[in-house]
Amino acid sequence: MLPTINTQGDWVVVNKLFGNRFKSLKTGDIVISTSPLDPGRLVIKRIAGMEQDIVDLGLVKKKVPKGHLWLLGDNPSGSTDSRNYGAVPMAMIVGKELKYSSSKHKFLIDGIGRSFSLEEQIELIEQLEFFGLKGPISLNEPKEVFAMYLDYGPLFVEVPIDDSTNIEANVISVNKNEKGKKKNKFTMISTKTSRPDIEKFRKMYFGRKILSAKTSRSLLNKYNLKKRTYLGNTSMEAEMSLVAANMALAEPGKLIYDPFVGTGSFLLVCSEFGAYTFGSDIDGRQIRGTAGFRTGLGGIEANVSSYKLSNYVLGNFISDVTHLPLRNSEFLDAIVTDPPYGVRAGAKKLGRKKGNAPTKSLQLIDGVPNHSREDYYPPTINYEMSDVIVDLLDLAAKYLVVGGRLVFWLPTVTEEYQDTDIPHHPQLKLIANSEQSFGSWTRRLITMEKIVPRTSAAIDSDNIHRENLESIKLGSEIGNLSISNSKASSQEPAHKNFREKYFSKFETPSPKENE
Amino acid sequence: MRLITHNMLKCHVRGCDDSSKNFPLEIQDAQLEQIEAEKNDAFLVRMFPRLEWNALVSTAKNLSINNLPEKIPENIEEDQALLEILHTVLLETNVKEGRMVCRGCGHIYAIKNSVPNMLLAEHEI
Repeated sequence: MLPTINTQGDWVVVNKLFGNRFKSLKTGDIVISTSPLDPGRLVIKRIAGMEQDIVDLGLVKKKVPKGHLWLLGDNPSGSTDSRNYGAVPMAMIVGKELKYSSSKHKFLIDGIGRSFSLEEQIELIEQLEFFGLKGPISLNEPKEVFAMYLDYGPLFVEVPIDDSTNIEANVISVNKNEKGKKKNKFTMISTKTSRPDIEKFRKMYFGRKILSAKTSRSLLNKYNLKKRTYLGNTSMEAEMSLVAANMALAEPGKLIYDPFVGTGSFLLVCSEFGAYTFGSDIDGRQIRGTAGFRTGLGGIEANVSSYKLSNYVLGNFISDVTHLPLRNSEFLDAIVTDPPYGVRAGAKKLGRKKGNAPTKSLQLIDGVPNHSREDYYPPTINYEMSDVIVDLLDLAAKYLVVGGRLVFWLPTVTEEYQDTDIPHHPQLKLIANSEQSFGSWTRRLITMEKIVPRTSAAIDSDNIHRENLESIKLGSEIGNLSISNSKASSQEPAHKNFREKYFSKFETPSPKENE
Repeated sequence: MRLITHNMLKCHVRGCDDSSKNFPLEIQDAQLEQIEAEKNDAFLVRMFPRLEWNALVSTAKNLSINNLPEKIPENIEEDQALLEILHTVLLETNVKEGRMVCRGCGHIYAIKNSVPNMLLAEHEI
């Protein structure tokens, strides 16, 4: 629209209009409308008359009809406008010019899969020069905020392969004792994340901030593990805990339970969203904070009070998931948990290994039965991952309200995983199965929703539980009998014996290695 | 352990199946602590039907808290006074030290530093 806007080189930022925002239009505004002569084109004009206004056409005067605008160009001799095609219906207006060029402004630059140094941010901002911003930059009181997001896709992780050329650099010899003893060699496998080239983004998004919506991104920082008073070696990082809380629909007034509470990460994030939470763990030392590398800090309670969540975190108790002391009632809105999968801490349940010494809990020690002594701790046995999962589903079917959610992390072997590994339960419906890949292994966030109440006579929950457990056993037997027969062993879920698979680096032993 | 949690816990020793005795667990030698918590009516109203009322009343009485009505109240969302009491009992009353005893089998669940130990001995599972 000459002379105000050049036909080339000038940019117009459009504030798209919808709903009652059309009411903000007034005479003098520059608007963008669909051309009444060619609906495939857009035209830029200035409003010369609102609906019901009288416009002077020189010889005659005309009233602009309701729901229409009178549009004129700024260059009367060369403009095709309402003088040619009449009043323009409001519905053809796309938006109005946003007057930003002289406003105080700032830029926000953020990346998905990459971060930017200050220099890189400035470089990117300078590339936006064509945009024609003449106003001053103001970081503290900008009138307009322009945001640019560059999407580089998922992180690409390179793991160097041990070949003959780099093995020397990767091997550290520990050989202080020279007297013919075995050399201890261990290989350091380093992982490095390559930083994508700044120009190699997949998509770029650019926009103007229109309102300050409340987002939860700041929680990533708030719940950063580095800021946590009390931590364990299995505490889950902020982002993944927050995602799990979202999947569980954590919100004010709900009651949420974590049966493998550990150091309480999920209680914190679910309560951050207003839910009431409690948890249990077979290891009371984790709850109280009397084990591990950060003792004496006060355990879960210390985190609860540092985040000022004692209103919402109800507390914890010590219990085994296979022997839960909960009364039979559907009272939980969600179960959110990260079952220990044995890499850094193995899952345990009460019991004694077969063939071991007999029951000792009833023995008298100093005249007191062993089990009633204050420091008595019952024996525990390993709790296999696939059993944990089946028990979790059973737990959810028993204690969730209808519509309540079970959200848990499932570690599995990337190559062997099949969707059928996720056990079924007729009272639960799979809502989401989301993958976080670590290369040869994967962590999956499984979300299920309870759809059938437990009182429904058609369902024998205990039976299903037994069948699920048996099918896992059956799978493992077939697998053991014929390792070479991959079809038979595929009945076994990939997460079974995850710990063993993890430490054998997910390699199936070849016959040669077995010799 | 707050009393809301206590209302969910039962004795789960093998064979201790008499539901008239394995719930509620009797709190003994309790050292109580008052926690200050913000009242949330929506949560109380939501939780109310999930509570075992008689167990709550008898447990409270046992701890000399006598202001809960014996009969299951109705329309609690309109009863501000009751919501206030319920809030204090369920969410602000904490058993710091003590023990819970099953009236059926006699199992003792110790409460230390507000954390009840619900683990069972080998012969009980």
